[in-house]
Amino acid sequence: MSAPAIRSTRFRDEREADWKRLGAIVEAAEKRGLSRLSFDDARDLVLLYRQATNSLSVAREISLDLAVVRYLESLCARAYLVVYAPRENLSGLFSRFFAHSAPQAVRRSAVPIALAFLLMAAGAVAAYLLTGRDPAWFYAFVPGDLASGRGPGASAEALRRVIYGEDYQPLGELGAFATYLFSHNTKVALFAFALGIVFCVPSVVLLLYNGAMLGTFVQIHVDKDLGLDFMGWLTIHGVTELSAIAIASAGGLTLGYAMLFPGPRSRPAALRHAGRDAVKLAVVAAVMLFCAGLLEGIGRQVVTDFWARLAIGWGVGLLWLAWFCLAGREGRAAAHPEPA
Amino acid sequence: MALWRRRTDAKATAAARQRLSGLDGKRLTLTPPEGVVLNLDVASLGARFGAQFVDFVITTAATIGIVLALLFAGIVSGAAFGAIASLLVLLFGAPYYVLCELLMNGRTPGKKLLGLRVVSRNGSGLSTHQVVVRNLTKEVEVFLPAAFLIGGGEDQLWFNVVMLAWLLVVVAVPIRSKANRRIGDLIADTAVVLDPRPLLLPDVAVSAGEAARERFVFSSRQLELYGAYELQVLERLLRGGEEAKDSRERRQGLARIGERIRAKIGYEESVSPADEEAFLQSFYVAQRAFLEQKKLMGETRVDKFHRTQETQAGGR
Repeated sequence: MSAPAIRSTRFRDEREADWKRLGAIVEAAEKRGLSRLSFDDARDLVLLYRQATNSLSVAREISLDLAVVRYLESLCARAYLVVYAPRENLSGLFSRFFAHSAPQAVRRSAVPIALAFLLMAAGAVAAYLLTGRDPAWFYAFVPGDLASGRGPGASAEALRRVIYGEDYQPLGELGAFATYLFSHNTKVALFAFALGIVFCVPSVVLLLYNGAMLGTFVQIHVDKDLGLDFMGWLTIHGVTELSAIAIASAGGLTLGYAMLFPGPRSRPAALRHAGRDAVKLAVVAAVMLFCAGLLEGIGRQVVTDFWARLAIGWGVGLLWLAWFCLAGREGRAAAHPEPA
Repeated sequence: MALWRRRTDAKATAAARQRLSGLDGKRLTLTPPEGVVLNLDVASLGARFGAQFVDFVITTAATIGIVLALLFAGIVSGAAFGAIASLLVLLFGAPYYVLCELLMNGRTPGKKLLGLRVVSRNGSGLSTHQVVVRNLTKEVEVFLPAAFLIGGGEDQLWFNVVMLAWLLVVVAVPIRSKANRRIGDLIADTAVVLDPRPLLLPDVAVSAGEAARERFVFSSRQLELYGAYELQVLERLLRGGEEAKDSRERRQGLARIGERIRAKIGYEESVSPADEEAFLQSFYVAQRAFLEQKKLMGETRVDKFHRTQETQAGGR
């Protein structure tokens, strides 16, 4: 009587070649990339992966051979990571973001963005009125290092010099861009986004405060009959920059709203859901701040004509608006190519 | 009291079983769309710190290298130089990590070096959104405290206090977390695991010679005593020293185990020391065939106390 091989050994013998082949394909895919697999390997990868997961679930049921179960577990995990890898290339990633998902996220968040603009406007109006009544308010709103000599006490001449760039520029055009990147407004945008998660409060405060600074600056310039010139100086990058702050804050407000009113979801789930759009808003705001930096660093120093500044500022603003309103408009089904 | 003792007993054997199957450390359970649950080893905090450090060194070296190259090439003047440098610092922050993890399937160069990988916890593939989220939060979660620690704090007391509190939170969350997940991982619903390395060991049952299996025959009464746990201990023992096959120590160990098994199952024949391995191998094959047959019939025997899977699950 010859003893037959036991069931789990036969199970292994029948499938071992396929497992080895899958292991080799996965190895090759990891090393050289999925796109460089041969035709046969690419065709069989998914098939073999399905078979291996099948073997794993059978082996768990029938086999007491620990080696096989453990091997299959790592093999399936490895193959799973290759089969379900993110298939992104750079151009596809960028084109999808800029052509579809970003403008769609902005359109979906129209309400919080409008709210952010309103809050900023409210802060500006309040500060304008307060500073008009008592110029000492200026010092309450503007930190010392940001004022750079501008203030209620400054002469009209000094203010005009800042506006039209006759002031001494120690760093030059690109230097101004560099300082801008780490400037006050970038920080405001970052914090208004990140801290919005604390029930919206920090975002609202930052929006009001940022509006207040704007309002008080406008007031001291209007006081010296430089209102229009100041608007020109501010507009060239301010339209983009203030919009970026509003959009970033809207992201923060969305997150805070999800924390306040999670609805039928649990709070973490609601936060994750709100995060999908909020993160896109943050990336959009980062792109806008980058452009605002270019406009401020280069545009403001090169272009000193009032009307040109106004045209560039609002022109760029219109371009942003067109992007948000017009890009990525298609059927609903196409709008979500994957539930990402 | 007796109940308590049984509980600790069960705990001890469960721990031993975990050690046996190499499951020490935290495990992460994923369910891919195929519906077959996969268990992955969670990356330790030390490994993750190491990977982050390697990435930090790489990005810093790249930044300094590019800046120095520009400096020596003399293409740019002082002002533009500052702009390019600060731009590089920004680009080698979150964008570097996002692009690496997207293009290298959840790995950065540092993670690849240490054999780590980011996976999505919901079992579908890693999405762009998840990668972006976990690396945007890295800015506030890793870089901000790191810069604070390197810079040595600022003048204002309240700022330092807030930063220290934040530092504590940032460190405490992954330690407390079940799968060593940091805040960014929690928000993005991802985890960092060790890269699985498939290694197929030979089947012990095959190495048992046919002659030996015919010589040592066991009755079902003799096979009824042990369970899967003991079987796998025996498997490990038999596999243990393939390379040190002839060492005396291994022989003695096998003889001791064989003696105990024979005493337990009431096997009457005596076995010469030279045949000990063959005896254990044939016992292993017979025992495994028996237990697998039982399992197929719906009777799972986890260990020699005849616990079934259900009571074991209830005891946990």
